[in-house]
Formats: sequence, structure tokens, C-alpha cells
Amino acid sequence: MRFRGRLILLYVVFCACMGVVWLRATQLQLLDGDAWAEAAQSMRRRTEPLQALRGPIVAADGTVLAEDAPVFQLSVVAYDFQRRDRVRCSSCGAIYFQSGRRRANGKLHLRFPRSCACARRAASAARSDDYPRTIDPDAKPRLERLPRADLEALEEALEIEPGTLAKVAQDRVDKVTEIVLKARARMDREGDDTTFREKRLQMMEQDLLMRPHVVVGRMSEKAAQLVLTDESGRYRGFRVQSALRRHYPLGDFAAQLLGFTSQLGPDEYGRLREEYGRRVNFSTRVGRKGLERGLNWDMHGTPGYRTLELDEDGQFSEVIKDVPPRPGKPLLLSIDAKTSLIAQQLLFHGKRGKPGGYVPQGRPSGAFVAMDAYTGEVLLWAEAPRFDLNDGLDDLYDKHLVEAVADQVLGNWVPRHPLESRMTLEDWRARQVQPAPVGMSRVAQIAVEPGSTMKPFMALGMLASGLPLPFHSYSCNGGSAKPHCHGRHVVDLVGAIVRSCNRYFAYSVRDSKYWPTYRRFLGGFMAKLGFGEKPSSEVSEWSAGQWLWPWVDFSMPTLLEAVRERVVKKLGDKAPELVLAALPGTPATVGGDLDRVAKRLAAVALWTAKRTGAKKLSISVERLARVERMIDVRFGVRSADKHDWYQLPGPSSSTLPPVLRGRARDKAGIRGRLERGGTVWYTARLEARVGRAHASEPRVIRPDDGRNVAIGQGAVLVTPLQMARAVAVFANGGLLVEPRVARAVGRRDLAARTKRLAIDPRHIETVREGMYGVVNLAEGTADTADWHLVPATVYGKTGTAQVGSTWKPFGETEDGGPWHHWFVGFAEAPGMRTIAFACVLHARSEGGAGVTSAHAVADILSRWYDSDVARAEK
Amino acid sequence: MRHMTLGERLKQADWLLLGLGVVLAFAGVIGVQTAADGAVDYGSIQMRWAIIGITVCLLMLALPYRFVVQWRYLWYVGAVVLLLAVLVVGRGKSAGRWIQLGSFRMQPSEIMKLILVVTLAGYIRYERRHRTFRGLFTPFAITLIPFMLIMKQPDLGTALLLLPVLFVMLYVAGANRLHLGIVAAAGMAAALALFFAPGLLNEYQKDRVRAFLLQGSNDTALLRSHNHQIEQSKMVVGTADFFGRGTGETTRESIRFLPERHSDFIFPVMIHAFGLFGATLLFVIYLLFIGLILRTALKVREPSGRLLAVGVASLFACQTVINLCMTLGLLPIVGMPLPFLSYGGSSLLTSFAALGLVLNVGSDHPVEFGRGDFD
Repeated sequence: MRFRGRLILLYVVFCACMGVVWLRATQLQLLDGDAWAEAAQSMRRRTEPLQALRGPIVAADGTVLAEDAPVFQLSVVAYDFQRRDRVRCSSCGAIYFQSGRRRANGKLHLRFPRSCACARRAASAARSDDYPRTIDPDAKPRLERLPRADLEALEEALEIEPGTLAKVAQDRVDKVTEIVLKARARMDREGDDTTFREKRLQMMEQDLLMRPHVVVGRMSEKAAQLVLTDESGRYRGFRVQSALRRHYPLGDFAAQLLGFTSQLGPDEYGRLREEYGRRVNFSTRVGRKGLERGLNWDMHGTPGYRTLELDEDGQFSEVIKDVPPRPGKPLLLSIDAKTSLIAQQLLFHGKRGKPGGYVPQGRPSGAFVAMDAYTGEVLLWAEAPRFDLNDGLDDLYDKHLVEAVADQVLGNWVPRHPLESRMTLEDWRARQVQPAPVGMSRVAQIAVEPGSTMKPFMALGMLASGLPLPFHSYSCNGGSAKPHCHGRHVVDLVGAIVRSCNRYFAYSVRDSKYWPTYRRFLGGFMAKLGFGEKPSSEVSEWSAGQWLWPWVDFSMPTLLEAVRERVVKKLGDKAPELVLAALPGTPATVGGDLDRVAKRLAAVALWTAKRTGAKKLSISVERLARVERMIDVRFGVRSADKHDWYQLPGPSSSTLPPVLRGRARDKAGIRGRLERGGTVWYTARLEARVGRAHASEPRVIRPDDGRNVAIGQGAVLVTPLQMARAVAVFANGGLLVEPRVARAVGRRDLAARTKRLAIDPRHIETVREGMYGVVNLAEGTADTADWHLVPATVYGKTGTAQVGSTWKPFGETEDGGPWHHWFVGFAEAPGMRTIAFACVLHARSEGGAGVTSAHAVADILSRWYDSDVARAEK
Repeated sequence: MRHMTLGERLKQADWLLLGLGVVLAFAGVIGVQTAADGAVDYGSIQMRWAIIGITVCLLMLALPYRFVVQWRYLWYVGAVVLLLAVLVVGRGKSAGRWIQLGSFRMQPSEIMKLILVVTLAGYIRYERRHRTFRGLFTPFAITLIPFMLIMKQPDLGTALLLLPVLFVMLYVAGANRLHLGIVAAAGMAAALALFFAPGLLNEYQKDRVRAFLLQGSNDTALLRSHNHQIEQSKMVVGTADFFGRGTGETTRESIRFLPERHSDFIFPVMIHAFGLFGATLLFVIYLLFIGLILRTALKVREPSGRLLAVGVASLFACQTVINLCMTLGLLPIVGMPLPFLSYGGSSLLTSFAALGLVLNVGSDHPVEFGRGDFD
């Protein structure tokens, strides 16, 4: 080929190349243009959530019960604790020391050649503030270099035990390090040898290392100032941040009612985002318990966001869009907080200036609730024991929730969360001791036997049945056989209420010729009064109590103990320590064959113990319910020595994070899950086989229960809130109200929900007469209280349930837990609200039975009528 | 032999070729000005260099190219010394490629490209041994010395550019195609060995190749690290309109995340500003430009002049194709400026000097041969 030909050939090649380039440019611009435009937006902009101010909760008297407040938080940045004299090179994996010695693959080498680019870069990184390439497993970030005295000064400012901060911060740093090393190991194991493995690790590590991890959820201004004004680098590694957190000015007042908030779990985010859209983002804190949970979306507000543009280095450049958050609506309660606080003080902490309250011995325990008999608005709320909402239960919940998340994603993202709160898991557990766990509300969640306060309702039922009364006049001699009575007297129905005659009601219901009618009728009638159903939909955790379940065979503690016995019997000394708990919503008692359920649980526990070799096992019963002739049981088993966070909700707190509810499908999966410290959930349906005749209807009084139900000593469990609701029927002439705590959300008043019951007013009047006598007649069981201080006509009924928290069949020994001293009733005053109330105190028999409660109620009512709220209404 | 006067040279010069070079340079000034982020007035600096470049081009036109070729080894040794000096005192962002001379930073590898063309043209013209297999050794040696030194800087792009220039010059000079094929195959094997042998290539250079091969990955780390530049470049090209978005604020906003947008990645900026329409026009100019240089080579009968023109054409053509392919994700990223358009004094001066040489060749007809050499 001649010269010309060669040149032409070369030129053609060049033209072809340029043609290819032109086609490529055309493809990028004309064909893929939309995709690139979309990519351009996402790569250059970052959206940051802006936390919305959650609506405050305000009591009727103007007291703020919950509000969002800015808090200082102390965080640690793991990177700042990293030793700076050793750096691992991302290229060759060697570890460089500033001294010039190099170690690779665990072997010590001589000084590295200074000409080595790697070495130069590493040394440069060690000198400069550049990030270390990777975490050096041999040089885990240590806090030791912080001077002891400086740490102690900070700890003193934080008001925490000396040494705690170092430990907590080091734990956090170790956790971050562990996550990174785990990720590295996983990549090694899975053979991730791609070019960018190091780059990915580096980015993850930098992210984890450089991100502040909150270790103290709330710190004082003084402590914050100490860190913020540190110019000498004494507190290098600690950072102070600000955040909005829920603050409860009254601390422990109505803690179980108000509840607390917590950040979102990983599964929740997707679900809630789908449901609530832009109202949910990663800054969202949601209510986990009580009103915070029940009215979460009213108070929640709408978070804002800020779109930032980033520069070529990924750093913040400018704000593109700023959508401010919209604060949540305030929640106005109907509760008079000041008077409730006085009631709380009187009941549990001191009676008229004397210490001790109305519960003379042991831990104060009990509840008082009062509501408007016509609208259901709850006016007074007092209970004990309580827990301080500012103690950091939310922090604790966050911590354990988030560690679950961290477990799942292996540290790809560890959301900011407090590591430690003032409340420890151990503290919280210690408070959940049955039968009086502090996490549950005595007013609305813990249902107990109502004792003689059941009698007015039985009387009403007997009257409403349309049958003649069994006894027009009953001569009671106290009796040698149970049920005993208070003395010799001759009573009619009203008199039986006034004197609280056990034998009148017991024999009327069970032993009269009307028994077959009562058996069918009374169960349904009591249900109409709200027994056995949730009093309100306002807070889902409020208990429905129990009404006439005929197969009350074993309690949850009994079941769990039976499981423990079986496991110990089988494994002897090798038996793991068992931590057993029932989750919220699980009934305290259930019917069925105890052995069958216990056997099933124990079998799983044994299998798990053998397979995992765990020294500590946790079994959580989530559901235990009677379905026809079967018992449905759902429980989770896990090796508790791996992690222990999941027990946080405990038997009496809020629900578990949904993420933990996954179900294993196969044995290998189950085993793997257990080994990783996860929970395996089992569902079983077992035949009840109770060995008795099965009732076809649930609300039919069983022969054995007849007498018990009549005097409220068994088969019936009621919360004070339910009792106040039911007793309001006598006050308002047959109107069943729905108790509600929230009066208004924002500017929207919440309407009262009531239901008119078909009850003859004459029957109600008859019972009212009896209840009036209880308080106002000399033979009344509550006449000794200071009713003259109450500027209203009070109707009431005392009651004492001696059976304790565990139901014992009638005639068996009475022992075990405390008695329940009840006083329920209503008070009417001209021109003022008619209030229905219920008071229960849990104490031993020395407490003085229901009369003690009557004294307490008289005391509280006198304060109520003297309160600003009551006077203002007048 | 009578030397042509400057007046005769100017009369004979291919003014269309010069005009295209000037158009490209001033298009580059606009592009660089658009790409400038405000911290440094790159546009004015580039304009200054363009004017100096045109002056250099005219100076090269005045100087008889045969003198340049005759003194080839002197230029060559001088350039090699400069390349060695770079290894000692070199400075730069990612690699030591520049020598600081007061406020001016010189890039010896840019100068070396042109000097290599001159050296090879002279060698092939006078030695005439390149038609044998053995005879290929010397031109390869001449090329591999600067190749190794530039690789050492490291500047993979410039180093790799020298090889196609050598191949093209040997090919048009009539070297045996089989011999060239064998050498090319050996070269490819050596390149693979270079890639896999530890320590010969820097990790970032390997990563660039891998990033090129893994384009389209959703790996965030990848996108934020080695693929970032290539993805941004494609994004800038992809988000442009057909007639472009102009040189205003819109374009500045869109290209602000593209690293090295004023130098090696000037083409995405141009296409974003002037659209596919502008890019097509630019391609046409380049095609014409290279075509005119090759026409000069055909017109000239003197062998070294022919080779000079072909060498310069191959230099510009390879640089243009590699740079455009790189910015559009068709080749891995290497440090390669777009002739006349990319920001850089050394690059622009070298380009104009090369253009001056071609103009010189085109205007000088010292010897008339009955038949063109290398035919």
C-alpha cells in the first residue's frame, strides 16, 4: 500500500473512532437523558429530617404533664480515641508505627523503606488529622489516655458514679469496633475480594467511627458547659449535641397513663411510612405506652426536612429547600393534676400530715380514679407504685431496640441512640416483680377481684332478671361455713348492701330456686355493665378484666413455675437458668390443662438448651388464650446469655419491637437464629382437656363460681376504671359511659360516648338506697369515714377481696398476695358534676379492709370539692 | 540549498489549518471559563496561553523544520533530562508531573510528546532501518525511554499515547505490518503483565481500570470513589439539551460536581454548554483539522516533513479519541487533555508548537522528488 493509501486508512480509522464517540454522546444525551437527570438529582442532594415538636400534654388545671424540651446529650466519637501512632495501610494491610517499624500478617519486620509510597502515606495519615484507613484490631480505640481526674470531673458534673462514664463510653467504642471487625470477618468469610472491598470497609468504618454515639441521653447545662468550653482537648472524643426529648415535669405522676416515646424500629419505619407518608421519618419518635401511644398521631406533628446540596467532596454546600416541621397538637386532659397529686400523696405517702398514707405497711400499692358520671371524663387519677418517666426508660427502650437493629444489619447503620440511661435494665426488671409490676397501671391495667363491691351489681342483676327476690328478709347468723359474715342481722336486699351481707348474696345466687335463671341471665347482664370488656378505646393497653371465664385453672406464674420444674427435673444441675415472662396482653390467668401447656413450653426449652448449650434461657409467653376447646399459646425462646435486651418490655411494659417477631422456618434456621442470639417464636394450639363439662357459652356462671361471683371473690377481675364506669350507671340512671382522659386534641373537643342501658330506674333507685346507707347510715360499712367534710351526697360500697392476686377456689386457704380493699361509689352535689369513683388499696388484712379505702375516698373528695377546677365549674 | 524567506512561508502556510487551531483554542477558552469555579480565573489564563501559543506557532513557522529535525537528539536528551528532573522535583495533585518555574508550571511530558515525534521523524528519515524487524529496536528504544520515565511520574495516559504515535509513524513509513503486529501483540501481553504484576502499577491506576469495567454498578462506595468522576462526566453529558444550556449559571450548577472539569474533562462541559449540536460541530472541526494535517503530509515530498505531519496528526488524533472516550465512559480514566481545548499552558503551547511545525512543513518545499518517499 502506498503512502497515500496508508494515510487514508488511518484517517478512516480516526473518523470511525469519532463516529463511535458521537454515537455514545447521542446515547447518553438522547436515550439515557432522563435516567441521568434523575441520578443527578439524587447524587447531589441530601435530605435531612427536621424533628417536629411533639404536642404537649396538659391537665385540666393547666399543669403541663409532658412536653418536648431541648436537651444536651453527651456522645462519644470512637475515632477520637483511636491511637494515632499506628495506622493500617489500605493497600497492603500492613500496620505502620510512627517509630518506623512495620508489622504485616502478624510478623514484625524491620523498618520500612522510606521511599515506599504506602509507608509515606501511612506515616502522613498518622501525623495529620486524616482518618485512619481501617480499624486496627490490635489497637482498638482506648479511653485510657484520658486523664482520670478529668473524667471524674465530668462524671461529677453528670451526677453519675465514678468510673461509669469511662466504662459506658468504652463499651460503645468497643461495640463500634466489634461491628466493624465483624463486617470485615464476614467479608472475608464470604470471599468478598473485590477491588472496592477496602473502600467499602473504609467508608463504613469512617462512618461508624466518626459518628457521634450518644452515651448520656440528658446532661445538665453544667456538664455540657464543661465539655463545650474545653479548649485544652481534655475531653477529646466527647461531644455535646442537642436534641428534642420528652420531658415530664411531674416526673412519676400518672406515669403509666401518660406513657413514653421512643425512636422507630427498623421494621416500623417502612410500615409507618407507607401508612402515614411524610409524617414519618428517621427522626420520628413514637409513643410506646399509654396516651403517648394511644394518641400518638395527634400529638406527633409532621416532621420537616431540609434538602442540602453537597459539593464534590460530599460536604454540605447550601440549603436548597427548607420545609419547617409542623408541631403536633396539644392534648388537653380532663384530669385535675393538682388534686390528683394531693390524692396520690394522701393515699400512699402521708395521711393528714402523718407519714404512711392509707397503706400502712409494705410498698404503697393501689389506685384511685374518679370520673364524670355523665360524660366519662376522668377527673382524678392516682396510683402507686409509679416510676419516674424522666428516669430514662425511653433511653433504655431506645438502646435495646437499636441494638436489635444493629444486630440485624451488622452495623451498616447504627442509628444514634443513648447507650445508657439512668435506669438500667436490672432496675427495670426489679420493678416488674409479680404480682405488682410497676409498669402496669393499677387504675386501668391490673384487674383484681372486686370483693363486696360486686354486690350492688348483683343486686341490680337480680332485680333486672324479673324474678322475685329469693329473700325478702334474710336472717344472717354470720355462719360457721364460708362465706362468713360480719355478724347477726336480719336484712332485705337494701340492708344486705348496707351491711354487705355475704351470705345473703351467696345464697341468693347459688342456692335459691332461681339459680338456673340467674346462671343464664346474670352473666350477660354483667357484661352489659362493662365487665369483661375494655372500658375505652382511648388507650389500647387498658385491661378488659375478666368476667366469668369458667375455666380459671392456672395463673401465669404457676405455668412458668411448672415449666421451670420440668426443665430442672430433666436436666438436673445442667439445667439452664430460666427467665420467664409474660408479655403485655397476656391474661393473668387462663383456663386449660396446665400440664399440657407446661409440657410444650418445657420441651422447647429443653431442645433449645441442648442445642445451644445456653446457660440462660428466656421464655416469653406472648399469647395464652382460650379458643373454644383449645388453648392457643405463642411464646418465644432465646438464649439470654447472648443478649438480654428483648426482655425489656417485660411482663408489664409495652409491646416488643415487631422486628423481633420473625418466625423461623426450619430447624437449621432455628438453630442459627438461636446461636445468633435471636428469638424463635412458637405457636401451638393444644387441647384444653380440663376434665370438666365444657360450657357452650362463655358468660354463664358455673355452679362452683356462683357464690364467688356474687361476693366478688373469684372468677371476676375488674380494674378500678371499669368499676368506676359501672358504678356511674347508678349515678346517671342507666347510662353506660366510656371513660376518656383526653378532653380535646388541638382545637377539637372529643365527644363523650355513652350508651343507654335498658334498666328499670326503680331497680337503680333500690340499689342507690343501699349504697346511700353504706355511707350515711350507722350500720353502713363505711359510715366511720369523715363524710361530713365532703360537701356532697355520697353513695358507695366497700369491698374486700381476700383472695390475693391468685385466685383460689372457694373454701381453700386464703394466703398469698395482698388483699384488695375497695370503695366504689358516686357523689352528687347541687350544681356540680356527679362523680363516680373507685378506689382500691392493696394491703394485708391489717389494712382495715374496704373501710380504709372509704376513709381515703372521703379525704380525697373533700379536697376535690375544694379544688380550683371543681369551684370553677360550680 | 535556498531557504525560504518568512514572507514566502507565510504566503505558503495553510491558513485554514491555523484558523481551525485558533477556533479550537478559543472554544477551549470559553469552555474553561464556563468550567471555572470562580476561585481562579482559568478563562483569562487560558486566553493568555492561547495568545502565547499562537505566537509560538508563528515562531515555529519561521524556523525551518529541517533544523529542528537535525538537532533532534539535542531536544530529545534535553526532554529526557527534564523528565528525570520531574521525578526529583516534580509536583502535582495526584502525581508529580510538573516542574515549578516561578509562577509557571511546566509539564515536561507534554513537551516530550512533540519532541518524540521530531526525533522519530528524523531517525526514520535518515536511518531507514525500520523495514526490518531488528530495525524496529531503535525507534522502540527511543520511545520506551520517555515512556518509562513518564510512567514513573506516574502519568499513564501520556505514556500510553507515545506508543500509538510510534506505531502510526512506523506504519506510514512503510514498516512491515507483520513485524508491527508481533510487537503490538507482545506489547499487549506486557500491558496485561503490567496490570497484574504487583508494584508496577499504582493501586489507583488499577482501580480506575476496574472502575471502568464495573460501570453501572450500584455500589455506593464505588460511585463515591473511583467511579465518581466517570459517573459525573456521563451525568453532565446526559443532562444536557440538544442545543446546550449555554455558558451561564445553569451549566455551572450542573457541572460543579465534575472533578477536573476545566482540564481533562472539558468535553462534558462543552457538550453541556453547547449540546449535541455543538459537540457535532466540534467533531467536524477535529475531523477537518486532522484531515488538513494529513493533506499536508500528502502534499509534502520531503520524508521527515511527511513523518512530522503524520506524527503530529496521530498525536492529536489519539489524544482526541482517548480523551473523548474517557469522558464518555468508553475507556478508563487517564490523565489526557483534549488538544487545544483543555486548560493547561504546557498542553496548549505544545499543541500550537506542533501545529506550527506542520504549517512549517506545509509551507516549505525544499526538495522535489520524482516520487514521494515511503511509497
